[in-house]
Amino acid sequence: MKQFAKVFKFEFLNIIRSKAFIFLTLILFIGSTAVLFYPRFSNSQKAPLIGESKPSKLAVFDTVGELGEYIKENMTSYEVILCKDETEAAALLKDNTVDASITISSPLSYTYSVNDMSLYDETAKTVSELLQFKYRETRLAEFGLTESQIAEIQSAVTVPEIKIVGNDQAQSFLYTYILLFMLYMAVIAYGQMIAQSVATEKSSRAMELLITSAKPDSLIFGKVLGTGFAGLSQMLVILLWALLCYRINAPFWADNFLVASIFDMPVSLIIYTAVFFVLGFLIYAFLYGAFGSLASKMEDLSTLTTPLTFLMVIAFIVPITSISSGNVDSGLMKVLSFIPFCSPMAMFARIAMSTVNPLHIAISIIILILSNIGIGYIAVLIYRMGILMYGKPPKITQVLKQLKK
Amino acid sequence: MRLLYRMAIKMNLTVNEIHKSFGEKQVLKGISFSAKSGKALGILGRNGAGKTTLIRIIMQVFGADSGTVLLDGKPINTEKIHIGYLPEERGLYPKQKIMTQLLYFAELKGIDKKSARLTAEKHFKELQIEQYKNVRLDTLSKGNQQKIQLIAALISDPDIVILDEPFSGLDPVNANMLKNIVKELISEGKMVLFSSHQMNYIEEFCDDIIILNGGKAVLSGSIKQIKRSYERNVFEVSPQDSETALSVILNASLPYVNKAEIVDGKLTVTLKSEENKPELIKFAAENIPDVDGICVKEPTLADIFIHYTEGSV
Repeated sequence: MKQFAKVFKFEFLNIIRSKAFIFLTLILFIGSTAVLFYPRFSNSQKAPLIGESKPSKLAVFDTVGELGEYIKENMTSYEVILCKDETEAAALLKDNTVDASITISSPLSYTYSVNDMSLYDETAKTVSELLQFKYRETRLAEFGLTESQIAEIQSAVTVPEIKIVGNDQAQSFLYTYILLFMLYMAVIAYGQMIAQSVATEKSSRAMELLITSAKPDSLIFGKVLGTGFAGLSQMLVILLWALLCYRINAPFWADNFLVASIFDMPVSLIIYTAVFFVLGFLIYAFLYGAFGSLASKMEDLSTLTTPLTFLMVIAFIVPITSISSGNVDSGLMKVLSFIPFCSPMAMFARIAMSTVNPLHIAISIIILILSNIGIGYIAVLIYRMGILMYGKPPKITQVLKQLKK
Repeated sequence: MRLLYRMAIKMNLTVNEIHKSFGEKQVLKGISFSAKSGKALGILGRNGAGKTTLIRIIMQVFGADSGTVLLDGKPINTEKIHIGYLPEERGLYPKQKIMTQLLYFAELKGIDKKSARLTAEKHFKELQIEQYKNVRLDTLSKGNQQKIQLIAALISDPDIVILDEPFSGLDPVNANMLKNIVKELISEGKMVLFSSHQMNYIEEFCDDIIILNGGKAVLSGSIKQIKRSYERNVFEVSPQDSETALSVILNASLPYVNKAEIVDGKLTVTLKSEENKPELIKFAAENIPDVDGICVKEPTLADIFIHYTEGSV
């Protein structure tokens, strides 16, 4: 235990003193500060940092008559230029004087031309609504209705009341995405760091002294947990800092519901995040440590860790595509939420974005804890064998054969 | 005070019938030997003879398949007894500050930081590298890195010191410095296990040796006795002129002489038996002009080593 504490401390300090760590932390600090302070100092009208972007200048050529003027009057958030003919509109679009152009060929048909169609471009929808409105108004007047009757019909809308019993996916999407991504990055970056650190000890032969000074169990647990703790504290510090920045600037973020949603995460979810994050990180980190011990040279390392990275990519891609497509409770996701290497992401995504039976959550966590213990044990066995082995790294089958003994 | 106390402990290390296999490969096939405090034991063997495996078993990196390692009759416990180790494959953390990593290794062995620092300071001074205490290891020359490695081995003020090829890569000045340290260790009453391919160092420090070959101890015992055990029938005759002396002996065709030749510039005469020595002395005194001396030519350690290990690994 004493040895473990020494290794833990040594490895932890090594990481947080390393240039890469300090640099990354600094970048994250600056990045989060810049993003969260941005609305305070910017005129959000011009170009919102996060959210929609759409055309703001519009060229309109009207073959019908009064419709061009009508559009100019009603689309106040756009700068509308009325053109005499189609070529003028095309020219304005071509030299980027306008972002989009509209050619109205009849009261109910028009052509919308745009250079790049933005994801959030609703110009065409607005123009359609305006033309429909104008058309109905004209036709209803022809039927002899009074102006107030027409206004009443035109302004009729449905008033839905939406009750969300489970999770609002629109609200939970972004933070789920961010947290999944953070876990993914943590495993890839810190896992690789652990593997590299073990392989360096071997290739520099510092291992010769280490194994004669300490128990292999202390060495691998100290390294995995020390490195993990360094990564975890980095993220925690950054998240707390981001929260502080957000609180300071909360009024400026009020109308951006995506960003506001991240910081209004339910407390229960924060606890689940911690549980799945720690367990998910450790199960990979143990194996990265063990596989690192099989390398004699740094060049062997990538071959040895690729299968793990591959596994992690799969465990990441499935939940990410599922939450993006809105089908977070698909059959595949349900299965993956009980498989140790995938459950930290799959089960977490489901908890965050839908409603999961508490019993299933408990089972998933228990499976994950037991697997962590099992993998930790196997990792120690591989490590014990690996650190004494030099030469060509063994095949997985050979390792398994050795382990059986 | 501490030094006196340490010197008082006399220990006996007994290694009994150690067997060890890795998979199909039998690395050690019944090794036995013993070593004492205040003495150096030379462990000799060609590359792959099983020296490192034997050292690792003594240091409890892994267990033996069978056999025991006893210290004063009880199984050795590396948590209670400190063993200093200078591995043949040198290595420390290249990117770490030197004092930081030395203290780390000491702490892993359960030494408190304060006394480890004191021991380290003492050795830094002794080895004349005080100025490098707080620089990164990879900024040092190879010779100085070797010295740091030696400090790492001695930082726990160990009772048993295992030195694996300590002299490789050292220039004569540094080698001399290390020699003095090894002698000091022995005189302080530490048990030194010494492995080297440089036989002159083994002869200089060790009273006893063990030669490993193919996982077996092919020879063990005191160097003096081993040399004595060889037949003493080869003599080096030192006349003024070896060539003339050789022809005198050959022309006389003495019945008790098996062979006479010049080896490495020295006239070497092999007799049929040790008992013919007086006859040779008498003949030489009477017939060879200007004989300065005749002495028994003992086999060198290198001769013995080659004799026992040649042809197989």
